Amino acid sequence: LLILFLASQRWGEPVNDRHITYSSSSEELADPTISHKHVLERLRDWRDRVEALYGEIERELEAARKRGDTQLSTRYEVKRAPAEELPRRVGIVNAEQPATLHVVRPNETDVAVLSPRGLWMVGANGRVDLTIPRAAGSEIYMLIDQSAPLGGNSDWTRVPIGLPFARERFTSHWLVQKLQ
Amino acid sequence: VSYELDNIARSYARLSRDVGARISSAIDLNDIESVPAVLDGAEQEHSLLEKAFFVLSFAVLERRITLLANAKVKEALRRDAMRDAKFRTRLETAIKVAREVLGADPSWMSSASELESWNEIRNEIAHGDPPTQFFNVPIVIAIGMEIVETHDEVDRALNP
Repeated sequence: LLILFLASQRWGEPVNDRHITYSSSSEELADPTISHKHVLERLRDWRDRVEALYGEIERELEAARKRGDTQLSTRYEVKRAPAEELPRRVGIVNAEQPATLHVVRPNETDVAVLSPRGLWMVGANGRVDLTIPRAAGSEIYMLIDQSAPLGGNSDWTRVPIGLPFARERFTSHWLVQKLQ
Repeated sequence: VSYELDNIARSYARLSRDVGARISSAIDLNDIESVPAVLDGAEQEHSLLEKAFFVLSFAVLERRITLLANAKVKEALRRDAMRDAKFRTRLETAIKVAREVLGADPSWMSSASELESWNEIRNEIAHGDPPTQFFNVPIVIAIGMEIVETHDEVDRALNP
């Protein structure tokens, strides 16, 4: 029953051919010898991956604006947050965090907010939360990067916060369509 | 099929839905910029839920690895010794047993180092010192299911 349940709900159509074996940041979390240099490299890579994600969303919005499909735009917000546990273990207290991205209406109110939550996640390579606030029925997704640490391209999967087995590949096209 | 993992997955799905609904409703009612107490509380619950179900799922997975490592052992003393062995030893033995009995490497073999790290992380949580607040529980359950399947296949092959 569980196999059927997982097969039907765990992976959405675009990702159901993926093998579940991969390396995540778990191995770094369990490594007591991890170096300060490696952690800094990972933090830079995390910032780059989040910026690349935002870049894709910006490009998709730009294309939609040119077609006259949307008036939405973006603004960035830099938030101060304490470093995660792993950087703290190697003496990094104030790591630079990726910015929060707001997708806004012409009157500057939010239609979506992307907030980086953490790089080191058991079984994944970072999490960004996507909040779509509404008067009723707000939606929150966890965007989980399934790529291997320092493996190059990101592989973002969206997971509704209340439906952890309902996983589908995240694309900026899906987001912009949803917000129109 | 592991009814333990099946039950864990169902409970995890149900409780996630409850906590997810609370987070969603907190955002309906409040300004997300202000991080109100209700949202903070619901997010803390979500984090605890993930941590708890990681530990529960890993416990089932670990038990099946130990059973698999002991699948060909008849003597009680040797079985006890294996139960007390380090996780890496049990894992390596479980892979060896699966390979010998089924004639192929188990599907989860390339996740071995990931499994070892989960064991370390579980131990750190048990000592009250979690190295992270973020867990991808469905992947732990999915790999656990593969291990359960391997153990069941080995058990059927050895005890037809």
